[in-house]
Amino acid sequence: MAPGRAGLAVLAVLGGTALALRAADAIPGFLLSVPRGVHVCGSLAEAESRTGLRLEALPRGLGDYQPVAGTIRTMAKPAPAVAVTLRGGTGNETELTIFRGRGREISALLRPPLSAFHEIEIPIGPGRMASLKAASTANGPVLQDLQWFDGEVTTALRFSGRTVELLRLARRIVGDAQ
Amino acid sequence: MARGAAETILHGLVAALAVMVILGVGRIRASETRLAFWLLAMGCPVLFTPLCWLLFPARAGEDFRDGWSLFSGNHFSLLTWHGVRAGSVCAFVLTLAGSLLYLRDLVPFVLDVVRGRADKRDLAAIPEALAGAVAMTAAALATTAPRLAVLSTRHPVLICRGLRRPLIVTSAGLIEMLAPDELAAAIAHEISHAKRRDPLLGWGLMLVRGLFFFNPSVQLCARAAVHEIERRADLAAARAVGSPSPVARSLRKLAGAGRDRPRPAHGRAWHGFRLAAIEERCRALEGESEAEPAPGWTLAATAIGLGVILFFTVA
Repeated sequence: MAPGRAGLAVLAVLGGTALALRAADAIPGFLLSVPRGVHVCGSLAEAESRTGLRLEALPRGLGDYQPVAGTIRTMAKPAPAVAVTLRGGTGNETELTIFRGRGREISALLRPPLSAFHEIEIPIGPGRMASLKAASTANGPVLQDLQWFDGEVTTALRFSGRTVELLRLARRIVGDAQ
Repeated sequence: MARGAAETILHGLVAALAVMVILGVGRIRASETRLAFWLLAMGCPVLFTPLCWLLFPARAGEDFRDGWSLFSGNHFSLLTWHGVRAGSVCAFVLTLAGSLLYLRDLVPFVLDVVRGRADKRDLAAIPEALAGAVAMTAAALATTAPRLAVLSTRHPVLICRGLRRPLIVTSAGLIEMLAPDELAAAIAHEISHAKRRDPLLGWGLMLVRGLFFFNPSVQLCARAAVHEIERRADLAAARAVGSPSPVARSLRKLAGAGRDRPRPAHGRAWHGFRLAAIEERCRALEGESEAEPAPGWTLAATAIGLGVILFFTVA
């Protein structure tokens, strides 16, 4: 047996093994649209313990909006962050996604970027301003994204309902935190 | 505990598959080299995995799993069906397969040991011709003649036993059944086992299989290693008697000897598989020329490469 052939076989197989493992690792994330590094948590309490961010108070202050099973996602790096989708409102069809993360940025893996066609600054509490963006989604409806920073933690709400309702929810959250 | 067992199964499967493909793609035919590769694949989950736990406990942390690992089994916990995790189902199926493979070989092994104990009481005198053949074959294999015992049973028996001082056990039935050149070849095969202390290796493999009974890759790698040990002894015997033909004939006769024994249906099927495997071994022996062993660095490179890959693979 030629030594070259054996060497090539070893290199090719080990390289192929590493690639195959990496590809296999990506399968669950691909099937469930969960990127690598993102965890799906069973409860808000679990997400709180993973990230150290205060979350459980959020849905309590939001009336009939309740977390949707399987949508509580966390990331540990680059900065701890969490995203949770709630459903409620009239007819239980309005979706609200709350993002919260340490620092000024929340990773795009948790909070996909929106290309906004409109952006304004709007007050949501005493001395607190938030940035409100509106963006149209691929299949039509307009999504609104409201974001504010309290000096340590960034909170963002992405909402498919009316602006008035979004601002009411934001004020409840800010009021709760205070 | 369960995660540890799952990691040894995962590491074992990765190592066994990689070694199987390297042996195939690299066309590595030498039994000595193949045996070393299979022992390496077996050693990965048995030695390397526990060593990783001891030396690098941080591998179990989420930072490592999500940031550094090539593959992390806990990513599969996202896939559930009626509340049952896909990873748990895989682990259960593989554990079941490993346990069945172990039992499949353990039961005949225990029966052989028990039967051997019963037969041991009834020894016959050693024929002079046989003693002469053993001495001559041992000289041809450049080793000292091992101890010899002949059982008076009519069943063909030929086995190499003894961990410190090897003993070749045969029977009057076998001496009657084989032609002189076939007997010399069969004895040469067993002397080759004795020379290389294969019974010790066999017990070692059995011990590891018992400890890792749940791990299918350990079971399969051990089987493959035993197959290579037998091939190595076949080749040594063929060299000692000057031709592979008597070795192959003796193998066929020994394998066919139990053909008429009444067996349950699954036993007949298994006996059929065993016969097919021995026939393949005979054809390979008759058809193959002495293969050159692969350069030593291929094994070292595989060990290092697998070590790196398995370090970054967590259950």
